Amino acid sequence: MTLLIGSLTMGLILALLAFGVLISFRILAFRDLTADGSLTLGGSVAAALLVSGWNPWAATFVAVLSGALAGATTGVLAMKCKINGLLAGILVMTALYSVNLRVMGKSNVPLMESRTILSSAEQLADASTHWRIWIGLWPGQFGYEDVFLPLALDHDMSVIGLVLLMIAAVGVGMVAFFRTNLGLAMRATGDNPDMIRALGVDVDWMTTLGLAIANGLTAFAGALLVQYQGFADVQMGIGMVVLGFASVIIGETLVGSRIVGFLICGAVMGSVLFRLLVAIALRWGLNPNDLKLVTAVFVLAALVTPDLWKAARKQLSPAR
Amino acid sequence: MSKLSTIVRHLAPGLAAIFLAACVLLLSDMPRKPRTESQPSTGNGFGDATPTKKPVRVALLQMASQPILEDGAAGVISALAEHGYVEGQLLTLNRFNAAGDMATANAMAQELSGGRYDLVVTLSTPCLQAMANANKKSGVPHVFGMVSDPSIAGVGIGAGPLDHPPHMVGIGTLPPADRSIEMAREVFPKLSRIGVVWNPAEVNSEIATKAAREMCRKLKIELLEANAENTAAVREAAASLIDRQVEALWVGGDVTVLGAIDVVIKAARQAKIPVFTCIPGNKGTLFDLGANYYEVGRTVGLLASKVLDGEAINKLSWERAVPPKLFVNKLALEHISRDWSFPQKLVAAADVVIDAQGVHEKPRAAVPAKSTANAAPAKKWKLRLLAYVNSVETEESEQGLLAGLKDAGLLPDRDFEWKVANAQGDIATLQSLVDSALGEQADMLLTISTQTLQAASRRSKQTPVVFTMVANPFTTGAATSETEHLPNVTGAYGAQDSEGMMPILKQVIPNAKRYGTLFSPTEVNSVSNHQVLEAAIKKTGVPLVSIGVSTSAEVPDATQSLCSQEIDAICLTNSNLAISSFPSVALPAKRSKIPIFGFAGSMSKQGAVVVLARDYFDMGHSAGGIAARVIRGELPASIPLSPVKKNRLFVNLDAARECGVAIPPELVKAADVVIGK
Repeated sequence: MTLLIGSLTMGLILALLAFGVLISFRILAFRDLTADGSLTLGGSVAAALLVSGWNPWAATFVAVLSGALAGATTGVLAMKCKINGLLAGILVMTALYSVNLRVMGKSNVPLMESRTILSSAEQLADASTHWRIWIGLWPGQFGYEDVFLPLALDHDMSVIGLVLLMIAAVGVGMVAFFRTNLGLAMRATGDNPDMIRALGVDVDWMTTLGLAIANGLTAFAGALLVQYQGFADVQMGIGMVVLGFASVIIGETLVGSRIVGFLICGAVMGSVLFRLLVAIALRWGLNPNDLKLVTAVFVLAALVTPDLWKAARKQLSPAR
Repeated sequence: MSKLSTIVRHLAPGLAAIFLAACVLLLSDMPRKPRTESQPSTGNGFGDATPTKKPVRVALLQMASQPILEDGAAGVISALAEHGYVEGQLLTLNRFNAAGDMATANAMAQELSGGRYDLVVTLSTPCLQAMANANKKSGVPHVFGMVSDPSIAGVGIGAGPLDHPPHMVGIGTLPPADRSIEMAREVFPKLSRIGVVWNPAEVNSEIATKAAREMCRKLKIELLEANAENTAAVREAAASLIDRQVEALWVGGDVTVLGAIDVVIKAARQAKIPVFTCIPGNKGTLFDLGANYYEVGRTVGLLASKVLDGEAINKLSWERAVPPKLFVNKLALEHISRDWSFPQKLVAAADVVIDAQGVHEKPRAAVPAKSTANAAPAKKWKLRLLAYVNSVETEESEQGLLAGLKDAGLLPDRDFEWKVANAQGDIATLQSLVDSALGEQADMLLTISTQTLQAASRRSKQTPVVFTMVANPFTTGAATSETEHLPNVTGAYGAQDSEGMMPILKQVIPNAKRYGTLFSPTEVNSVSNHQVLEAAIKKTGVPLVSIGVSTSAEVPDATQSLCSQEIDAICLTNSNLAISSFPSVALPAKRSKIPIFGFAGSMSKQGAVVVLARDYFDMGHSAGGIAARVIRGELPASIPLSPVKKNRLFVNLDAARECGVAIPPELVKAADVVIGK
């Protein structure tokens, strides 16, 4: 149960990263590698502020802004300085490594004692214990203390509840945003920049804004991740873009549609499913050295399955 | 309508897949109850259960997860096992913990009185009261313990030994308040004025305070009292006592004050007076004379086994038992202005002595006589080794851990199940690894590297965590000093011996003008190693040039630039990077004829002139020893973090000749390993 809740929470937190990757890779068609750095940036800014006693919500907000700034920098480098997009991302990501060290002052900041967004959710759960007893749901009532509503899980439950709420809010916000004129222009920028330029939209500005939003979301993921795991580490962002992209791909396969709303739902589902599959692999006692290979196979399966499915359908119903 | 169906059609596969995966995960993660073994194991001395005993179901209700309650619970379980009720064989034990909440305790007691259990054991006064109250009608057999004075708990127990309800019997344990004050007199004969903070709302505290007043009157000590209704008021109350010039602060069995004991100790330290208590196992007090709650638990367990054997409860008598346990903290003497000192006799009688060398604990006297140091533990432990990255150091640590366990007489497969998991550098996977190990109901987590320690200590609140490959555990949030650490976390740490290297540097290069070093700012261990090295070299008066490197690709260039700055030697700060890319340091240094002084054993063969190794194998080895102690029944909370102090000196004469330096013969003699001629 702990493992299930743990991986669901982790999947939901990393869904924010998947949102970021979705915007940059899919909607803007910009191969942005900044995310490896901005995830850590969000984490280290949040950690540094939390340790110095900031309100957790304010700290998280500033972390999001810092990520947006990093994304905007990549955008300016790519669009105004005409640096290849891939290279611009790499440059910013590399620079952020030092920035993150500066922000934290050292390579690793523990948050054991600090109040975080998630610890306030845990406090809420403690407060609700009385209420639970009152309505007659006490632990051990059903005889299977380990399965139904054990008290220790209350904390995990409240944390996952809060994360779910935040993801839902961000998701709804994104769907709403991509329906506005600005959002539509941004989508068109990715689909056909020449066409949208002809309509008088500033493509450079659009791309920069999009990257800022994408990396802000990524930094949000970093800030939550740090508060969930209890420490920030300068190496925590390594390989994260790939992870986010894998979630987006799995999500696309699952929903089978390119409509933005579905893509967003897909990203969440992809991220959650990815973590669940990793957890299953771990739980089944997989040889630890094979872990990365297995995750690669997941993504491969997600890429190939739709085509195989289509081919199989064609074979079965030749009349159509 | 069609829109809705479109949405459903698109989202359904994903949701179904997630649901499926969650079910698979949940199924494979279902806690498996230990199956009854077909044959009782013969090695542990519990095989002599008489055939008349039948399987029983016992519930153990405790108020919270405090160390003393855990000690008591451990005592109950061990005594039950000794009398033939081994968990998983004859005994089905369900544990309930009210997590400190009275309403929960009442709800649990209600459930336990439903008749599903042959016996209910309660630990602590509130649990006794809750259970007695819920159990009035049903009369399920009930054995209580860890209660100061059952006769005033209002549950129908009177003064006489047989004066109790026919379904209820147990053990009362008054904290030895009077004796602890007597002992303070022994430690400081001039003692004339002590202060106590207590909460008048607590029955136990009142009893203890009354006993203390009595004893103080007898010894002609003035007892100043200050009341604190809640934890927040403790600081002020203690300060008021200190203002009134008390010579020491005493804490009775007062849960409110014990909850804020750190505040009391801090205030006392500022005033340079000691704190002593009659509850065992506080950190930073001068001495604690309390009841040995493990022994109390064993007495309760003995009583419980009698009830399970079928003895009539109304014929059994309730007793008072106070097996003493004395904690003596010599370190706390440093914080006291007046001349308190422990008589030799007292130290010899102490169960736990804390001094500059660490914590010395007498072994538990009640361990069955058969178990010698090399005996197999009572059960097969599930050990889970967790690591963050794949590297040479990780592998060395792993080998060290296994060797440490083996040297302590524990063998894989026989005594413990060994499983390794590695996050392969992915931080999200690291969390899942910890969750997965906890979900498998691992008995202990062994962690390699700082990040793994942090992830494990965050997620695991009960399961013991033993760490290694950590340079400085005090910056990880898991510990503040060697004895003050999270109750379930302990382990071995070690940093390079920078101080020890200084005389060697001086011996080999007597007239050095400048030293150089490389370090890795992204590694926690390397940063703290570098700080210590910098301080040590500063003391010698020789300037140090430091260059930070983050990736192995930067190492050759950084070394080149270091060598061009007219240095006489490279004293290489230890880091994972330095170890894995050492050849890239050795080659440029060799070309410039600059000797390298290193801190990892593997560097010696690769061309370092002198290596003072305190390596990951040694660290893993001592962590393995700690893990073995936990397996044998010690609580991680009482095992201090252990720094690895052993060094191994390697000298490479070939490399020295190539760089044109001479290694003095006495150093060669002192070396553990000499390479070349």
